[in-house]
Amino acid sequence: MSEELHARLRQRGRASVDFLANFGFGMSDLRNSVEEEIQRIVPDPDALPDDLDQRDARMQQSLGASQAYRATQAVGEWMATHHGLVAKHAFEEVREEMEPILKKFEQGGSTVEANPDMEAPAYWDGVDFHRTAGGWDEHDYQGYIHADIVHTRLVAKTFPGGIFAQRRMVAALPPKDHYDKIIDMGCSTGHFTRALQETYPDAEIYGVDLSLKTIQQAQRLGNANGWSWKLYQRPGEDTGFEDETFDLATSYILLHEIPADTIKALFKEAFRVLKPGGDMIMSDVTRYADLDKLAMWRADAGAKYGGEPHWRASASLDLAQIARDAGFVDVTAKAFDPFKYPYVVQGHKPE
Amino acid sequence: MSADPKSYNKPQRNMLLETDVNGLAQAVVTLTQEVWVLNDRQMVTEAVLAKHGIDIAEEVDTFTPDEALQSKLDERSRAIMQRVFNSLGGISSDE
Repeated sequence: MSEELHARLRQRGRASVDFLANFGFGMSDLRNSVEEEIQRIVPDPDALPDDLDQRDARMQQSLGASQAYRATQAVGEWMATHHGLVAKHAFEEVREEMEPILKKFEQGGSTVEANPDMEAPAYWDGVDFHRTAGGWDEHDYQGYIHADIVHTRLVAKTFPGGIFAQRRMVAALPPKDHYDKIIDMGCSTGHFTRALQETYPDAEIYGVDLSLKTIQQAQRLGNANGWSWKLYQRPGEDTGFEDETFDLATSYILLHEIPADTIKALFKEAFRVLKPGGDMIMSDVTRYADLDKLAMWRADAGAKYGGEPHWRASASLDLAQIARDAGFVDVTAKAFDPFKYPYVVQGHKPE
Repeated sequence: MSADPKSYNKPQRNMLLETDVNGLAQAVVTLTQEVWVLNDRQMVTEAVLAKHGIDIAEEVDTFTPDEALQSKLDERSRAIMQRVFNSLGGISSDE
């Protein structure tokens, strides 16, 4: 984030956002108490039901007797429903001084092609992903609010491994030192696009995303850094680009936001738009197959209450096989320690 | 898709029970005390400064804490949250 784009929040907004950033620490005693209870009621995770819904019912029934657990659910629900509102209110306090800066960075080499006639897919339309109040496009500066306040001031402070360091690490994984033309599928506000540009400074970068507000923020980020990104309001699974256009096709933490059939279509689209000899790298959340039954339940419950309707189906997929089915060769998949996150699939389009 | 993804916007969640109402009352009162202490301090601070001819309202609004102060603020906010959340969860706090 360019320093000029980083809002100087007023006291109410700043303190409220800090409050959210410290939330996890504030809940630590509760969580420790619940963890002790979980260890007591689940001595052997393998004995939990195979079916995820039955497993959740078993856990809810057992943990429902714990006052500390019920409190974590109530407090967690407050966070889920309020983080977007707090961030939006914090922005509104500085809107007057920030708006000219945001408008300024909508000019420059990075461009946005809006698609007002786009038929939004049912998997996305009306869904409040991450339980963000009003979804991605409700507020005229939702992309900015998400990037500068939610991501940079909240998520980045507490996310294990660091969201920006992880993006830079993944961006450096593709096998070549140089790529002429890169497509970032589901680029959102441009955090990973930035990591790509910093890793491959001479690359021409294209980004697509369904959310106009997020790619408008990516445009500001690009322009604030003097980059010339070409951003389009289009689905990653149907980019509209000619066959064999790009040298590298990427996505970062998109796949768990789309259904299984769309994920398969996305890999096929990546294969189609890559030039022969091109590379693919897709990163997403920890695979359920890499988790024991208890950890899987934790992830699944987090998705259920965290506005993630496609997480379970997505995290259950064998992404490496999907990549092979799409035509990629030399496919590798790796879950990065210590969190088994991100999960990174790479492949190559034959010459 | 097996279910309407919009159903995830407002998921059904088992939270507090009627038996939690006493803990909830303890938490609300604890929170009210904390909020009042802060309100009192803020108003007294501004009044004392105004007595000395200093209007700090705008400077407070635009103030960015340095690292040392931010660390203190974080510590205090975590402590307040723990007191309130622990009351709700039936966990005794040291304070």
